Amino acid sequence: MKSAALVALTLLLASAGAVSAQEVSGVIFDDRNGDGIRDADEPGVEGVSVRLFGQSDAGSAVDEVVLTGPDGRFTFTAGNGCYLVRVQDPPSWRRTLGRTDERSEGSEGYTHPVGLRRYAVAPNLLDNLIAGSVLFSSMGDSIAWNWNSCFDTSAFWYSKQVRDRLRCVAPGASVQLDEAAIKGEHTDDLLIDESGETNNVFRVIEEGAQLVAISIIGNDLLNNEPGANPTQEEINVAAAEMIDSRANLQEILSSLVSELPQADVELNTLYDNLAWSCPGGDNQPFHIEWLPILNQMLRDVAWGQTRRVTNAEVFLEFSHEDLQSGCKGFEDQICHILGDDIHPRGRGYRIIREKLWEALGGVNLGPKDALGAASATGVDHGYLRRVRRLYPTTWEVRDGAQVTDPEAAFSETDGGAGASVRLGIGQEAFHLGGFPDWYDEIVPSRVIAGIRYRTTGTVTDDFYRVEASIGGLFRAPAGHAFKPTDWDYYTPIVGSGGPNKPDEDPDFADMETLVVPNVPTYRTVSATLTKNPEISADGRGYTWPPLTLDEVASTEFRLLASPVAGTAGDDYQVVIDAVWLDVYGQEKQRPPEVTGLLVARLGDGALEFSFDELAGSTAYSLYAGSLGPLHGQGSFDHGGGSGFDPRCDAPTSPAGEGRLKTTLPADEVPAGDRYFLVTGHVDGVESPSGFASDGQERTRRESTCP
Amino acid sequence: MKSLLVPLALVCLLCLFGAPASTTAAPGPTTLEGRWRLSEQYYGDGRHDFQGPGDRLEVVFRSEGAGLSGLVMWADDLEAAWPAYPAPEGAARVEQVQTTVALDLRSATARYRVLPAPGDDTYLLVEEQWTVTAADRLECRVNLRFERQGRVKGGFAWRRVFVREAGR
Repeated sequence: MKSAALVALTLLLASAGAVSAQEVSGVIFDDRNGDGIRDADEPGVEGVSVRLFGQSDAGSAVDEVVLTGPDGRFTFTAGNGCYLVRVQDPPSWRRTLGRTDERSEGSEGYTHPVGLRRYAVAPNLLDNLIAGSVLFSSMGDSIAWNWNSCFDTSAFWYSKQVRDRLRCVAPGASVQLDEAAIKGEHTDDLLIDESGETNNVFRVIEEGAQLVAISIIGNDLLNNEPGANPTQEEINVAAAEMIDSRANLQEILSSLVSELPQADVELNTLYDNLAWSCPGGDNQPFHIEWLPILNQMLRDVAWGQTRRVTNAEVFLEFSHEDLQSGCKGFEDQICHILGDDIHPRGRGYRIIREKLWEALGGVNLGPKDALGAASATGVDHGYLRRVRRLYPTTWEVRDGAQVTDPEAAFSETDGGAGASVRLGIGQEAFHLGGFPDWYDEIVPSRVIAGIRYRTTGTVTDDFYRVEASIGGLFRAPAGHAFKPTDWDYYTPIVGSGGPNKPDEDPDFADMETLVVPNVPTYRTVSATLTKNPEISADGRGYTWPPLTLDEVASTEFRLLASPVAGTAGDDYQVVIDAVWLDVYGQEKQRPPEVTGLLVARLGDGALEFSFDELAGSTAYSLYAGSLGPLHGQGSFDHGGGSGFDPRCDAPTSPAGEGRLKTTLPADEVPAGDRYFLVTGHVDGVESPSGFASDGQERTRRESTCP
Repeated sequence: MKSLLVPLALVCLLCLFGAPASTTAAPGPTTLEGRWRLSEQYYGDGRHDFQGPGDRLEVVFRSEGAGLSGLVMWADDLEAAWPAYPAPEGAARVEQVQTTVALDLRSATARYRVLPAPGDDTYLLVEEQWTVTAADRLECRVNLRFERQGRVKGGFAWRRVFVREAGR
């Protein structure tokens, strides 16, 4: 009887488990490297609000909110049905990329049409559905259209499917699809203000879409496609086109985000069978080398917007298709009849449907799920914390630009005062730089460059651009040979690639440089600050290393003229409230200041400094500044401006009772009235120079020892 | 339409064995007549050749009075009279067919509209421009435009290069 009771109990538990296993669960985590994958050293984030909203197949509405636990976990119990999961961004945190896993070497099998679930969030979508209506615009090219030469899909199939899923989530809401995409179109086309169609930013803004899904950029590349053994000239042409397309996308996305404040915007990454075909398949060196870069461009341009644009990770999901045994996985998703060879078959479009659904935070359970899954575990979301906003400290005008009150662009907290810049019809430019390099407790992961600006006067055709550049070079040298690890010289922030650009492919005379040229009230635009990738350790791909503090500090912004040749200049000014760099990543603990500093003059005239040992310090630095400016203007100059070079990593010796000492020889003692201070360095972070009587830390600008 | 192949093959055999003088003729553009096999295909002005080894597309042209007739063959065993729009299960249904042929038989055009696939409402407006080059290759520029609900909604172009089938 005892064993029978055990069996019965086991059955009971199994039954209970089957019920409770039907869940939607995941982890919100501190995604320190920003790759969307939870690593061992990435803790959960507690107290984040997560909402599950939708409709069960049994006909009941579901609307639940939970807070993540100490380990960042959340769990909902839900029956079969269709749902949206929305994570409320914690203040100062930004959701990172979707999962960026590429091929899992050595593994086999792909559960079509979902290999890895790559969840993201469309923050406004749920509110719009609850409010009762969503106008969903499907913009782009033949992929958004669902075209192929195999005739096995119909127009806008995957968008219609997603529309129907949204209707399932909120049966009372009106979800209308604008089938906007036009075959063969480029990023440039989305910036041509045409009536009679809605496949351009101007008309989508006019119609007031609440959800904009975009699949574009393939055609930008297609006409500039290098051959099987590309020459450097061909690569340069293709790279110029990609860089131009990135600027176009920045203008497209930033305009949609700022002009449709209640909308969600989604951008597909670009699948490519020529980059990841099976061994022996039609792999092309150019695609293998450059398509991962193109897709990182798409992710970066989406990530850096003032409001996060979500990505459907089509590129990475398709890369998994290679893993199917027999090496037919990926190829089987592409229509191969008569040289089509680039458009997905119906099977391929099913994958894109799933990626778009996941990118919106969509979760189906039971028969409505593409795999019939009863639960959705691993609905994980990585987040990065903004650790500091940095402002410039220097400015410069070039080539005849005129500026009034330039230093007003250094701060947002000056009541809206701005640097007013008049450009012209030449190369006039206004540069801002000098970003702080002394915040050594910061460990950057990703950086966003932002600007808040408006215009006065009227802009008609003499436009302007805003760009940022690490190191301030802004463009590759003339004749530069572009390589996958050497192409990225600037980040476009405001302004598309422009009409008739790039010079290598000047076909779009009617496109607009600016979607919103006249900005009567302050507008904020931002972009991910990017740099070149590096070859990964295994030589098979790329890594996208974080920016260093030195790179952040070397970054320059510029506002520059982008006029139409041969016309009288427009009479306008750009007023910059501020530019900034938002640093996302980690922040180390800062050590306390060094205490107990005593100075003694030795018999030979040398100065001996003794001080309390700082726990954990691996180095000490000795500074000297001038008392005159300190007393006169309250300004410090010990960072080197006083004529005394700081003694970084000064030699020390024990002074007894937990104290150390360092000596400055007589011939190195600076003349004049001086103040001295000593700092310690713990884990690469320098201790404060000291604090004023009001508790304010003395300037960190002068802490110049590395 | 397979019956077309037989007389065409006979014509070609006659050319080979019955007219040896033609083999010593000065090189230059020949005519569209003959059997051609797709060897290269590009999107627009791109340089990447998308023609895969399994993408069989052949066309046979022959003069017929003042005109030109042709047969399009693809996949393993699919074929249709030219002009035709190949699809996986056979030629797509077309309408509004117009063809023009140059008097010297060195170029031809075809325009037609491909009817939507079941469940779709997209028409394809196709224009084929065939030209024999000086190197005796056959180039075909295929412009496709997409029409939906009475409006043209974009398109793209293929540049196809055909070579003569050996012995033809």
